[in-house]
Amino acid sequence: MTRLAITSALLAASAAAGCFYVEEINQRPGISINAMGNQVYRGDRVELTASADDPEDHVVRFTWRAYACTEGAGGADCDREPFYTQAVLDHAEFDVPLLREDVAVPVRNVRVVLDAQDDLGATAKPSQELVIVALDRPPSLELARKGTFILTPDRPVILYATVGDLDDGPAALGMPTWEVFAPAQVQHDLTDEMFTQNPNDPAHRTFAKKFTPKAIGDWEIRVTATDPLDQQTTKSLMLSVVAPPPPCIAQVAPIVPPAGAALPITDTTLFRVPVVLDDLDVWPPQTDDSSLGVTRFQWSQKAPGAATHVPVSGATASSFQLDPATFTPGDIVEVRVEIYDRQLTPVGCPDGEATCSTISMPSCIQRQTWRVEVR
Amino acid sequence: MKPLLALIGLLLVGCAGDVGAGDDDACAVTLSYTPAQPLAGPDSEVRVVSTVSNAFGTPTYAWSVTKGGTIVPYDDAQSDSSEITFLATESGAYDVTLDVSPSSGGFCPQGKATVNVLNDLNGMKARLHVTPPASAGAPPIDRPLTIRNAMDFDLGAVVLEPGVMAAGQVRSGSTPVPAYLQFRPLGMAGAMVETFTTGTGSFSARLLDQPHEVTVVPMIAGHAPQRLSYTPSSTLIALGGGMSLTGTVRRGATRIGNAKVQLTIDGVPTTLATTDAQGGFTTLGVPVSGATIKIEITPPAASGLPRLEATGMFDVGVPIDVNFTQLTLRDLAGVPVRRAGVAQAGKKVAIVGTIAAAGTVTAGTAATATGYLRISTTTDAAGALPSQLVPAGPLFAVTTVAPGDLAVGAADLTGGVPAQIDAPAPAAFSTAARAGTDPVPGAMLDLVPTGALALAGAPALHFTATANGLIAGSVPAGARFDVRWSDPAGVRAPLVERDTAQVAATYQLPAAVYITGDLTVSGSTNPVVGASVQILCDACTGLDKLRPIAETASDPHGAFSLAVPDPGAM
Repeated sequence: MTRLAITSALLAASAAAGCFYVEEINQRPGISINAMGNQVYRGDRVELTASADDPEDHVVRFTWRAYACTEGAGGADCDREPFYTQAVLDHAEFDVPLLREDVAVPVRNVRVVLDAQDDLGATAKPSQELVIVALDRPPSLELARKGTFILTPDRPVILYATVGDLDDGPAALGMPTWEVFAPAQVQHDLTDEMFTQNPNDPAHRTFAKKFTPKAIGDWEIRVTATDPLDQQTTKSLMLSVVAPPPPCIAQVAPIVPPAGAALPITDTTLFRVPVVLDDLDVWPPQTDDSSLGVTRFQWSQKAPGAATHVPVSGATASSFQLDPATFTPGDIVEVRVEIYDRQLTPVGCPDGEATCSTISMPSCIQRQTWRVEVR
Repeated sequence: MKPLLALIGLLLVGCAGDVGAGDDDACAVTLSYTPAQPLAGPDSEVRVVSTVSNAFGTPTYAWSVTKGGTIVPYDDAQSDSSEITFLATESGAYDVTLDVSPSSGGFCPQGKATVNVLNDLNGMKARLHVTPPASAGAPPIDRPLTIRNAMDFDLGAVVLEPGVMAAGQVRSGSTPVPAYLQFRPLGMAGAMVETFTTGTGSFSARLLDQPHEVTVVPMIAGHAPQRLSYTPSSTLIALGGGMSLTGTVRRGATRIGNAKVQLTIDGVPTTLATTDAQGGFTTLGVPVSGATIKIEITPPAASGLPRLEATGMFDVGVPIDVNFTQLTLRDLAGVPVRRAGVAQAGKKVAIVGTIAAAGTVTAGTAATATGYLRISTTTDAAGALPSQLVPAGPLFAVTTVAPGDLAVGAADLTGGVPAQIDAPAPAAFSTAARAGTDPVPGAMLDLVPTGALALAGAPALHFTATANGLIAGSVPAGARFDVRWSDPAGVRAPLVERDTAQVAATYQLPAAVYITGDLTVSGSTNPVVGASVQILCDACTGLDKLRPIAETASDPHGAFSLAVPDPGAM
């Protein structure tokens, strides 16, 4: 029976009986749950709102209950007690539990039940239900490599895979799987490397591998992390392995005179290369990277009147000593250094060129020449 | 009296960890400690004091003291915890950090200090020399450093000053003068910056923002090299006129023409002069009252005379008289050079030697000059020396038999010309670097010539040890060397053995202590990467002052670590 029909009947009865007062019957409110969607990840925060339609515009109070479930529909496989209750407001806000309370299994669904009552006690019927699907969040995975040096064949590089799982924690994750996709099926080495976990970041675990490519080309390191519910995350680290660049003279002493000028020296002078940058062999030796070797130096000298620079046998250290007293004051002598890494790439510029870059890059030279005036 | 006491107090307080500089309103936390040089001991107490500025509100303090990663207990020394004390029972670096939480809720950067606790106050004086790459935008530094006995030392943040770009022109009157320039900051002479001007005398160089001395060596004739005061704000280096310094070079009554003459006055050279046929010379220089002056005279090679060097406080305002001693000269013509009886044809031979009293130099005062003979000649097709005069005396012949094959033979001309000069075969050696009984793989050995070989300008020989720490090679027989070992792995410290005639079978590389630090540039948070960091000898002179005891390059974090000899084990 509709509300209009009941009211009309009561009015008719009242008119027939003379003075007759009838209080209007309080109607039930109608309610509904408003949600942004019905899928979230375990552990996510859920925000819901309720709508009510009360015929008499009474104030409606809501009661929310949320149950952790495996199935959820119709209350099947749900905890007996709600993990969330709230009795007043028209909105609810809760975090989806990771596990059910009654049985320690991952939450798959959340059953939300909304009841309401207006301020005269009329209860909304039926209760509103919403089943939210609680998805398993895939593990997080970040890949990185140690250092910023250029990758070259046979030079190992340490790779890091840092995994986490907001749902189940990093301890629940096994070791990620590593796959190497090599250019042209060439060989490589990929071995475990010790890594001390960061005690300040218990939410993540880092696994390290030492990767040694054996050929130039683009290498793909594909890593997959799998959580206990078989959710997977796969990421790739693209590594470009190139032919080793030549070593670069980064600093020299003393100053190199500009073209046409000569450095006057009156005392025994130590010509030095204090810093060489390279991805294979550096100077000074680096003690914290065993893969790095030591630069090879070759000093040569162009005596007054000589046509070319002549390598000085045995002068293969990072410095070269020149005593001006072994020449006649006023003589012009040229001191030259050329550097090599284990590739032993020839410094092939003509002898007359004061500097030389085997890669035609003025910022990376393998030869430096000082023009010296003996005083 | 009070200001003096306060100053002394400041000097005695170690200080570190100035974080947050650069913004006047930002919170800053500074830690200082006393005593400035704490000594390890069971009752050795170190007090660390925090200074917090711009915290806005009442701060709370959270301290941490660790040594080698192990927590060190501490006590509050103030009721508000702004100061602490801890016992420094062992030597080494103690890392102190302080996190300050202002009640205002604002952020304060962490205060840090490294307290180096010493075994004793003994140590070896050295210098820390840092040459940053040009991209760092900071000039080099060269500052004193004490290497402590038996302990590693963390220098903490080594902050380079960005300095200023000094630019200007070198002029003599209105004439631009192209020149070679050496700028040395006062009080830090080792932090020298070199540059060349352009052809119009213009220069620019990044210098510390403080007074300097600049040595100017003009590249054109008619201007005297000189040392001047300079401040980086100045855009002009004005050369003085210099003074003509005159003299005569003779050998008794015989005037020596075509000799080269140069003076060095208080470390600054004059122009290079050549004597005329009458032995007269004129050079341009800037006399300095009371300065030590070195005079060098190089006679023509054909004269057979040695190069003279004399040092004294000469009066160069009067003509300088250089008089070679009446040395007996002998002609080497026809003297064969042989190795194992085989004549060495077409070989370069350097006749070298030192002659104690080869002449006198008189200018106001007289000084005896030492003679250094370095005469280069070449044997003929029969392996004999050509006509060449040399002084009578105990000399040496350094023969280049082949590239890398030098021979040092005696050439005693005291009583006459020798029947032959021997060019002995190289002497083979094998040696090993050891750390106790363990080998030092990859150890590097430099044999730096001394004596006759050095006079002949022979290069240092460089060797690298095998994985077993072994080196096999050969050296010129009869030669003397400085033996210099270093360990590129930085496990053992360098070793130097001076002026030895033989390479020993084994060398024990000394135990190392480590000097560490982090390079930054003031006002920048970026680390200084690829800077040359060297530990240099403080007491050394000459070239040894420039040879690093240890060297490295700062890593991508600006950090460096150097293995140096433990002074306590030397």
